[in-house]
Amino acid sequence: MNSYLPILIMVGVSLAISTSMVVGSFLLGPKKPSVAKSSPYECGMVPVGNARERFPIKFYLIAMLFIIFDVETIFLYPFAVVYRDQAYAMKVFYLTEMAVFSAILFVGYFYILGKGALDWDGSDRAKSPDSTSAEVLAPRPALRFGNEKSGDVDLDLMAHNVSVPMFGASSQEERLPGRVATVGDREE
Amino acid sequence: MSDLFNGIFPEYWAGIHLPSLVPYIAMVGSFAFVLGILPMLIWIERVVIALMQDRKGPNRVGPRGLLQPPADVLKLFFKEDITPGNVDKWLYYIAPMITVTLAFAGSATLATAVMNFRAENGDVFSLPVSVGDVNVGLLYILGISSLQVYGIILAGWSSNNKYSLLGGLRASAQLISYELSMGLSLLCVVILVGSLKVGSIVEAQNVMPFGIAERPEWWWQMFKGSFLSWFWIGSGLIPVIIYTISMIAETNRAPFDLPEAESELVAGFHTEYSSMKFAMFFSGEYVAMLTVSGLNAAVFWGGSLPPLNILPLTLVPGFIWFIIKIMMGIFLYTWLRATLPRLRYDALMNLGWKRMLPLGLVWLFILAALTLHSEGSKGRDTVPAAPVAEIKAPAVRGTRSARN
Repeated sequence: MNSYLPILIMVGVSLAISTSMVVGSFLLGPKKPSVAKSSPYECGMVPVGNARERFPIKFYLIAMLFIIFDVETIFLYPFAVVYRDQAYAMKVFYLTEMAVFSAILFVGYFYILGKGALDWDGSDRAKSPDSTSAEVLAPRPALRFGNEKSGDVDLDLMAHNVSVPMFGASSQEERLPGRVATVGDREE
Repeated sequence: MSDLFNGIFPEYWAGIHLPSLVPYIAMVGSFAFVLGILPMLIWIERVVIALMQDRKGPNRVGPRGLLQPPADVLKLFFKEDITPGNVDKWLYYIAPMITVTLAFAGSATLATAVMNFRAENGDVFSLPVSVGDVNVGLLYILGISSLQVYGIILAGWSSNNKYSLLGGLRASAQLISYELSMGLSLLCVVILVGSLKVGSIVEAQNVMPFGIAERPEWWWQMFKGSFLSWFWIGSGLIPVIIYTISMIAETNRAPFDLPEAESELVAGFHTEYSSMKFAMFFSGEYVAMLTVSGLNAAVFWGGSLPPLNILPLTLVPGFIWFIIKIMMGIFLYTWLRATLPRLRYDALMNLGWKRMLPLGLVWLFILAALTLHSEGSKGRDTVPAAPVAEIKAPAVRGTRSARN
């Protein structure tokens, strides 16, 4: 038990270091809160919807599979520690026992493999990334951004420092009245 | 005096029992090393990547930009500590603390060197220098490193941000997937040594290579405990490859840095953290890198043993060799970061679950079958789990005694 005391002290010192870092930064930094600062960061856009969205079930599946195989790994540790110092007959016995145990687990492993539980992306394209296949090279429908109806960007408005929202999908939806010039117009 | 020159310390000095002070010396030393090397690591990484990309890197603050990391730390301390609205305050503050605490505490059972003492009756005995060379040492390090997932998933969940949540989920799935192969690769070494003590694993590498019988001539002694007898060869190369890949994945570094993929998730789980709390995740990652590189060095690369058992090399203290091996691990991290693009997530999962997990398990049984006939305890691997002062390894022989 004596040799665990320094480890406990080390954990305590680490805890003190991390606490002092949090408290120090809390005390030393300035405090100028604003609405924009305290809103969730979404690349400068106004946050959309709730952050606690639903997420893929795959993550749960991986966690469940992990528990099965982690228990197996933990079960192998005592075997690995005592294995070396055994007599030959005991070694054979231990090895056979663990091989049977692992074989049963491997049955389960091949089952989940066959079920496709370990395929993160089930699509065929993800399985065989062939960059020159006809499927990949086929023409795709144009991407839609939601601002197709608003016409081209009005560079004149930007040049004259008129204050209109310039970025994002809705920036050109509400145009200022009277000025309907497009880039194509000026080129003529 | 000749004792001290050979690196043998008296057991009692001015009435103080020196061997019982070793864990505390190791603790102070490891904290000093980690806290001192931490800013340097960031500088080293930036300079090495700059060299690899044929540019200059940091060169403004101090000579060759050396003072850049301390300046960054000072700046971060005096930045505004923003707590966004709608965060889960309790978890939001506790997540970086979990990360840093576990990162610093994780290296406690690493054996960093070997110290020799001369007992009252003239016997020489050696002690591994470690905060606590307990008999569950490897299990402790694995346990601490798997607890680290809590810091990341709690940060991702409490931040009330879509990027953070996705980063936290990715990180937890990645960490638990690669923990399996990491544990299996270490098991391959445990089955060869028969002990979970890191000190015993290092000592087990201090033998003649390829199972040759002990020879007294110096040209044979040269290879005793040399790089040829370390477990990167001894375990058949497969475990060290599996461990190296999983140690990079466990610390979320390139090419496995999907939890903080800048181009898609901004900063992943620490998007909403600012000021020193951001720096805590940052430093936690670097300290974890040091710890897993240290475990790599101790378990597979001979720990504090010199690469060849000849005179000028054996005069160098063991902890210097250990630090050199850790820094080679750090260089590997940097090299990979500068070389490899980020993996796709399904490729990451395939590598962990379909390649390394079965390979590690099968290799464990192959090693077990290969060691069926090797006789067991030979003294060197049966260091008893006793109180520190009672541990007694065989007396140091030959030029080996020069090692500190």
